[in-house]
Amino acid sequence: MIALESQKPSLATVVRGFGIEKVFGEGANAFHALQNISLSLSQGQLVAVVGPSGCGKSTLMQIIAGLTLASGGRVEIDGQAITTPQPDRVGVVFQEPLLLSWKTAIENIEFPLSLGATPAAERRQRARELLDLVGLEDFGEHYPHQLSGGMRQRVAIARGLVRNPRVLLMDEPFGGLDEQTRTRMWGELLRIHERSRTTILFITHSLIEAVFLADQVLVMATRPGRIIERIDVDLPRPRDLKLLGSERLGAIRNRIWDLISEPTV
Amino acid sequence: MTTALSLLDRWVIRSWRAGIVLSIAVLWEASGRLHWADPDLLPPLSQIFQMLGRLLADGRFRGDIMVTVAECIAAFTIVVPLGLVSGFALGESTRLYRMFGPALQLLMTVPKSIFLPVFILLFGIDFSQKVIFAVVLSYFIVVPTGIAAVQSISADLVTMARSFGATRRQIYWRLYLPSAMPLILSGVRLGLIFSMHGIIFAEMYASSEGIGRSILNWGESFDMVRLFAAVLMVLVVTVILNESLQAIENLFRSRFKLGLAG
Repeated sequence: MIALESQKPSLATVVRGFGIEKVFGEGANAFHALQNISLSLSQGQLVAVVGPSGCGKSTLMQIIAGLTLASGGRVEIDGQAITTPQPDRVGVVFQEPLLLSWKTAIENIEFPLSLGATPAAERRQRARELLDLVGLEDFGEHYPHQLSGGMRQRVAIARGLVRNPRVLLMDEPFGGLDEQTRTRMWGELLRIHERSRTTILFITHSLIEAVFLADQVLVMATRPGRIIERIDVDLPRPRDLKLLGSERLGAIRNRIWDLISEPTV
Repeated sequence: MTTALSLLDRWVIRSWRAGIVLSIAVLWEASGRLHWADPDLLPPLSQIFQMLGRLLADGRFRGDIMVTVAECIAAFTIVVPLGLVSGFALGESTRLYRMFGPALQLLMTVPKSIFLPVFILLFGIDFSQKVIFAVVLSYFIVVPTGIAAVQSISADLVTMARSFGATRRQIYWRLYLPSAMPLILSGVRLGLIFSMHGIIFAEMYASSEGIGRSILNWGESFDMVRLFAAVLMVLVVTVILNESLQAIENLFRSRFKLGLAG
């Protein structure tokens, strides 16, 4: 086992967003992308944000990652306001793996550390631990083009976790994978989450994915992008892929579906 | 891109390539010796090679070579950094591109040789005039390569690097440089080829020394053996330089696995 985190027993709040607003453009052309978004993630929680395309969920992620400034409201991680990227607090996994094609899997995992002052030996050691965590211990020397889509995304997850962030942001990370690989990656992510106990904010447009993975689902609506419902998923952990066909999961999924389908149709 | 070829296929293809060069050489030699063509106009290849040997031993011609080589090196070392850096700036800043892009596009389409008489009036016919002309000629070839090099970089990769705390400097050195290396090397290669082109052209137009001047003189005095010897020499040198730089470029392309999944 590897110690990814000095665990605190209390469920301290890690991420907090207060009344986040985002407006693109000005005057008559102004587009209200996000309206009064508030959220809170406690230590080790996996929260999914689900919503239709264009509801601003990726913008929300960019704001929490410090890549985009909010027009109003604030984001705090461990009580510290986020306005610029904070790689030691926030790790990001994008929809595409976005690996450096000229670096091997292990070098890609080391990349965030290589931007800082971590000594080379320590970097390699840390990257090995992560490679092991995502189950790619035999593929460290492979280049991205030699790996499958699922493996590339696992390297990206390892890279997102390598600086031991307080929260891992995942922006539709399995959206580009085929159905079978995606399902396998769900199991993989739950296993990684189980082992690392990292707080995760997971963005998706798939209801099944959100319900199966998350402790809490934030349902967003579009124009303006806002949270219309917060649903606690009380399915026990550890969760098995068999749960996907269960009635309990289906019931929660249907409840969310009713919420998002009613007002627009 | 390339389909897999068997070893035998590759040897057949290579033999044909060598065969083409060889048969041109043989035809050339034969046409002079067998009087298919006027040997005064198309001297046999063997005579031309002998003449090239004699020319390379001749101090005066060697002096001409040195002048041309020095001019080429000067033009090349000026135009490659200048062109790549300004191409980089134009590719990186929309503001700069809006300011200078249109003028650049217009100048790119103009044949630079029409300015040669003006350059001679302004700068004389010595070393610096040739270098300036070659720099102007090749600048408009190198700049678009620099712009393309910057534009070849994926914006998503930059976002990824930023999210992990990369500074602007780190993004340039760690992301831009490796991603753009093949196009940077293309710029270097084109800079070299067009520097040589500009220098020899300027020498042929008006000069007291250099390979271009010699080629023009021998052409005007129907000294076909010397003319062909000098032309052949320039041709071989250019092909070798171009091919070596192309090989380095390909090496980098495969070293950095560019165009492959990331």
